[in-house]
Formats: sequence, structure tokens, C-alpha cells
Amino acid sequence: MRMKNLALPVLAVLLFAVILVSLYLGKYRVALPEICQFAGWKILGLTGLAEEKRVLLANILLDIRLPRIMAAILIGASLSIAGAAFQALFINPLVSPGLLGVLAGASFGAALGMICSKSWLVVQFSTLIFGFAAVAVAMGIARMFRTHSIIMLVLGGIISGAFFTASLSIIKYTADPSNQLPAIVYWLMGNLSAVDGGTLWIVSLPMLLGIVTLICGGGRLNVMSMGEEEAKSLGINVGRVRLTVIFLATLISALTVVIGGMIGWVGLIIPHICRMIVGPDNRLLLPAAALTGAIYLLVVDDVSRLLFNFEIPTGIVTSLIGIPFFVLVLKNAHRGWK
Amino acid sequence: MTMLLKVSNVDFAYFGRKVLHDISLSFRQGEIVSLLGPNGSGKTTLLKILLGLLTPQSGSVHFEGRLLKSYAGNDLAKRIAYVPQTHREAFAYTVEDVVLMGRMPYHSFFSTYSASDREIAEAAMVRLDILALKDRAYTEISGGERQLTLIARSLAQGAGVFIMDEPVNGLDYGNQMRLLNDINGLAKEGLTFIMTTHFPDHALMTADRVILFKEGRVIADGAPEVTITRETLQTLYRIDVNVVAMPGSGCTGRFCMPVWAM
Repeated sequence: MRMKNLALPVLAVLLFAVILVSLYLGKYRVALPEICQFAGWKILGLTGLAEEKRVLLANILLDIRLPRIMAAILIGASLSIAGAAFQALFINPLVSPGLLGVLAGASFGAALGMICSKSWLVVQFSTLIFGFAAVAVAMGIARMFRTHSIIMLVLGGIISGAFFTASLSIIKYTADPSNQLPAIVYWLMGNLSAVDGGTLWIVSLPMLLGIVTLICGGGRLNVMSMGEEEAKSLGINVGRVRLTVIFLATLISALTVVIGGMIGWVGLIIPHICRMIVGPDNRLLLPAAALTGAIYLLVVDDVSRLLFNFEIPTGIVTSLIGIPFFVLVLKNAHRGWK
Repeated sequence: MTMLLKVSNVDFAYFGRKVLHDISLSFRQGEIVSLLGPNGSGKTTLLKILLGLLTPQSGSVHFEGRLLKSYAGNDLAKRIAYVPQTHREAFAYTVEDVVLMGRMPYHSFFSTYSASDREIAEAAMVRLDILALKDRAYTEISGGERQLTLIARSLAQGAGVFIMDEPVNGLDYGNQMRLLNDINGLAKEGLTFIMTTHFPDHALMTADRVILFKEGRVIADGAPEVTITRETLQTLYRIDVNVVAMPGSGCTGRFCMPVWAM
């Protein structure tokens, strides 16, 4: 019991420490005292640093490293919390945020945007819109069968996901192989090197809103995971809660693709690990998953930009770490769920 | 006695297959009512209609004089609780977490459980003698303990009517008898129980009233010693069963004994 109460503060401190370390780490060596002096100047107005050094540090720390750190935090937290929320909603601990096709749709949207337009804004809009379109298709298919059951929704998601994955292949096939195709493939690998501060500020607001609202709904998600009839008899408006959770999870998942392309496995393994630490109570699990996901992706991104002389796409590293880790998790996953 | 729940001329069909025919029943406060009948006779469907989970195609259901469907979901949940059949859950919530879920109707989306909710949940666990299980995983306790947890949740819900679907299903004999005794005690405090059962003996032991279902119709409704007879059991289950009175106990101590076993 005591350990559970400590989990959130410990994770928050850990996240803060990882942020500081990530600011420090990089190809360009910045000495620790210099960072302290820079912080002193920025926050307290101390003048211990030469003018040209200030400009240089502002550029490296605030314009290059900080946006990337923020992107990793937002993406890690969003995917983890969307995964945890879906696992409760679909009463299945093996579900990932892409269940209803949002990631397949968003990938298709990004690729479509890239071959149709040179404007990055168009690509981003297309990503978001097709993320939602894929989920709408999944829900439409479920509705066609006139049932509101979870299983039809899952099947709808599989169909929709398959459709948009196939459509993505068509786009890749028709894309110009000298520049468009590599751009699409590179984007779908998922990486945070192309993050720009402006976009980040705009998308961070809806993402934070989605994350916070989902955390507030933790108690309701507990009840939802007892099954539809029980949830109804406990006074939950099942249809409305389900729609709200799907909307918010779709929004924040699609926005992760807008920022950094496809980042795999985070949304499946992080909720799992957290459930083993803090238990299945979503009131605690959701914030813990958000913090853990942020820490995890930040560390993975540090690894992917520093391990070799060249950068590896972050999405590849999350998958490479995620897959064996998932096997380990499954092996001793008897406590959190059965 | 006040009429709590009133079902009038209800018909219900699943995708055109009719499972309830013109059902009219009323339930009073503090009653233990057993619904008895073979599989597929419409008992569970009636429970779901009483809970507002299913809407009948024709006829009406009134609760405390108001149409059942005019209640908001959380208002109804404060009055009528559902104790489903025990089932294994995907997630290992603690017993306390499950009991606390009963307080959900009292909260909006953004509010969370308060100290008084915890006290109410604890009182419910004390009432059913499961406080020691508080921190145990709901998935790892026995079937009987799970059923008591769900009843504690309904108590925490503050509901006056408990609707139970085969509450003793899957429990061993000891837990069955303890559970029926608990239900008896709670009914004496004014709670109303409407439950389905497959055991005429249990209805004889606990029920104030028994309603017999066959093929979606009510074939008898009244005190257990009147409704549960050799003839009605023959009609319901097509077996020959003697209903025997314990010597010297008047009409209360009765039990069923199949003729082949006598």
C-alpha cells in the first residue's frame, strides 16, 4: 500500500531528473557549470555568462534539445495513457492504442499528405484527419451490425486498420521512389529529429487536455472494465463514456503521429509494467503510465540519438526494446491480470 | 406495504424471438422474491428489464410510481443494484476498489471518492464480514467471497432493491447457505431482493414469494408453500419431485425430494 502511494511522486522526480540529463546529453558538449549559469541567467537574471555563449546555449538547449525532450514526453505519455485507457475500455490487457485503426489511418494520412503537397501543415492535418477517419470507419462497421458490443468494435478496428494499411501500400507504390518514398518510409519509422517547436506548442495543448481528462476518468474506466451491464447498473452512461474515451485516445494517438511518426510498442508495454507496479486501479494506473511512458521514451530517444555516430529512428529502438521486454513481461504477468 | 416495482403487460423479444409474454407483476418493499423456472424461461430477461438494461417492446415498468425509463442512470443506480453472476475479471482490482465502485453514481466525471465514500464502503464490508479481504485481489478470492464483495458493493451503492442473477451459482454448499442467510438478514432490515434461482429448496428456505416462469409466462405467483408443489415442479422441469414438510414444523420447513430418491 505504501509503495503505491509513493509511486507517483517517485516517478515525477525521476522524470524531472531524466529531463535534466537529456538537456545535458548531446553531440555538442555543454559543461554542467555552463548549464547552471545559463539557468541562472534565464531564471534569476544572473550575468555570469558571456553574450555569445548565451546565444549558443539558448540555441542548443532551448531551440534544439528542449523541443525534442517535450516531444518525447508528450508522445510517451499519450501513447501509454491511450493504451491503458483502451485496455480498461476493451477489458483486455493485450490491447494497444492502435486497436481501432488510428495509427494505420494516421500513417496513411501522413503518406497521402506527403505525395499530394509540399506543405508540412497539409501533411499534419491529413495525418490527424485520417487518424480519426480510420476510427470512424471502425465504429461505422460496428454500428452496421446493430449491436453495441465491444467485440464488433474490435473487429471493426481490425478491418479499418487493414484497409488503411493496404491503402498506405498503394500510396507507397505510386510514390516517387527517388524522394517521396524514402521520406514516407523514414517518417513511418518514427523519429523525433524533425520536431519543430511551433507545431509542438500547438499540439501540446490538446494532448495535455486529453491526457488530463483521461486521468480524471480513471474511476469510471474501472467500472467500465467490469463489463457493460454492470457499468450501466452502477449508473455509468456507458455509450457516452465509451465515446469520450475513444475520442480522446484517438486524438492524442493521432497527434503523436503528427509529431513523430509511428512509435511502436510504447502503448502496450508501459501500461503493463505500470500495472505490475501500482496495480490495475486506473485512478492510479493512468497517471503512472503517463509518467512512465514519458520517462521511457525520453531515455529511448537519448539512446537513439547518442548510441552511434548517426541517429537511429526512435520508433525502431522502441520496437527493438519493446518486443523482448514484452516477452519478459508476459512471463511473470500473473499478478496484474489473469 | 408500498408497491416498489410494478411491471404491467410487458412483452419482450430478442430479434423477433419472443421471450416474455404479457408479464404483469408487482414487488413490495422488504420482500425476498425468487424467480424459478427452467433455462430460457425468461427469468434473466425480466431481471434486466427491472434494471433498465433492456427496454420492453410493449408494456411499462414503474418504480416508486414513476416510469423506470424516466430515471437518469445514476439516480436509478442509487435505488436499484445489480448483483451479477460471479465471473472472473480481466483486472485484479482489490476488494476495496470493487466495493468503492458502488459509490460511482454519487460522482460526476471529474470528482473522485471522498473519505465518507471510504467509510461507507468499509461499513458495507464490515456488514458482510469481508473487511479482512479489503486489500486482496478480487480475482484471487473464492467465488463465495466474490459474491459477498458484489453484495457489499450494492450496499455501498445505497440501493434498496437488490437484483441478483443466480447468486449461489458456483458456490459450495457452505457458502450457498451462508449467502442465503446473509440475504435473509439484509431483507429483515428492509432491503428488497429479487433473484433468480435454479434451486426450489433455496426458494423454500428464503423466499417470501416465488414466481414460476415457463416459456416466458408466469404460471404461479405466491408464497413458496403454495407455489412449489409436486404438480408445479412437474410442469416446470418434467420430473417427479415430492415436496416434503419437516415433521412438526408446520408449513415453513419444507424441502424437495425427487421421487426416485425416496
